[in-house]
Amino acid sequence: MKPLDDQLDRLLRAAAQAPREAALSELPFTAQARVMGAWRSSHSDSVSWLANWLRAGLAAAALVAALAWGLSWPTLRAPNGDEYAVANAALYVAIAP
Amino acid sequence: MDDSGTPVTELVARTRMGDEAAARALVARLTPVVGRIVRAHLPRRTSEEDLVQMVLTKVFTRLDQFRGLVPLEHWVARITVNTCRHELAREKHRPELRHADLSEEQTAVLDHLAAEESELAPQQGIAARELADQLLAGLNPEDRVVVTLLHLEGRSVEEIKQITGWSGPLVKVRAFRARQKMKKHLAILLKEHPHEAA
Repeated sequence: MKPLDDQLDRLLRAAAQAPREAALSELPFTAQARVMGAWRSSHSDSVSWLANWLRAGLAAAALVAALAWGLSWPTLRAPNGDEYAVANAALYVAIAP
Repeated sequence: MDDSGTPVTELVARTRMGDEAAARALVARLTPVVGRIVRAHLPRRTSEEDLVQMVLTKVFTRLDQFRGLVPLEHWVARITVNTCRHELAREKHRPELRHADLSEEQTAVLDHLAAEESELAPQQGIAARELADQLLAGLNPEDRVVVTLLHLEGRSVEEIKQITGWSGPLVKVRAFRARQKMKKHLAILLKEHPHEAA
């Protein structure tokens, strides 16, 4: 191994084994409150996004239903002259020689 | 309700449903994980607490993106390392390391490296760490992250792949280039060192 490689390796090995101050194990109250605040606002954003999506879906479904009802209204209102046609046809088939 | 024994997957699910107690428990569970990584990759001018808070805010606002394909700790580690890398990148100034700036203990470490072939003594560990940190400060953020993970935290290439999202060859190339740069800086220090000059 080249001397410089060896020197760097020895330096890094010693550095890796060096004791370090304990890392932050508990978040102070203010920092925790900020994290929770950010989470709450993002959570309510996602909830309101879902609510908006459902509202839009419901409105679209209502519009389609109204359109369908509107388009079929003339047919529903028109007097139906053929309401006995099926019964007549059945009788005719039964009676006919 | 005490959530200290609750599985992390359950805490995630409850947090997603808007359970505040679960969210608090998850913050408590993840703070040491994030704290350890931040400590290892901390930029010079950033407060450790600020960076931990920044990472946890990202984790909690992106919790819906966690698919559970990897353990939560790996996902959090990736966010932490990437956040540290971005913060390191914001530090535009990379200090040039000069022999005259070294402390007595760091000079003794250089003495040992130049004159001896043995390992450094355990009591020289802190000075070695400071010297290594100063050499790392001269690297770009990606190189710094890869050397810290590989040599100081003892992670495998596979683990570094998972944490950084880089490919195996990219990790190896970055590690190689980073070592070359560190060797170059170390060579300059050793050249300026009185022991070598004599």
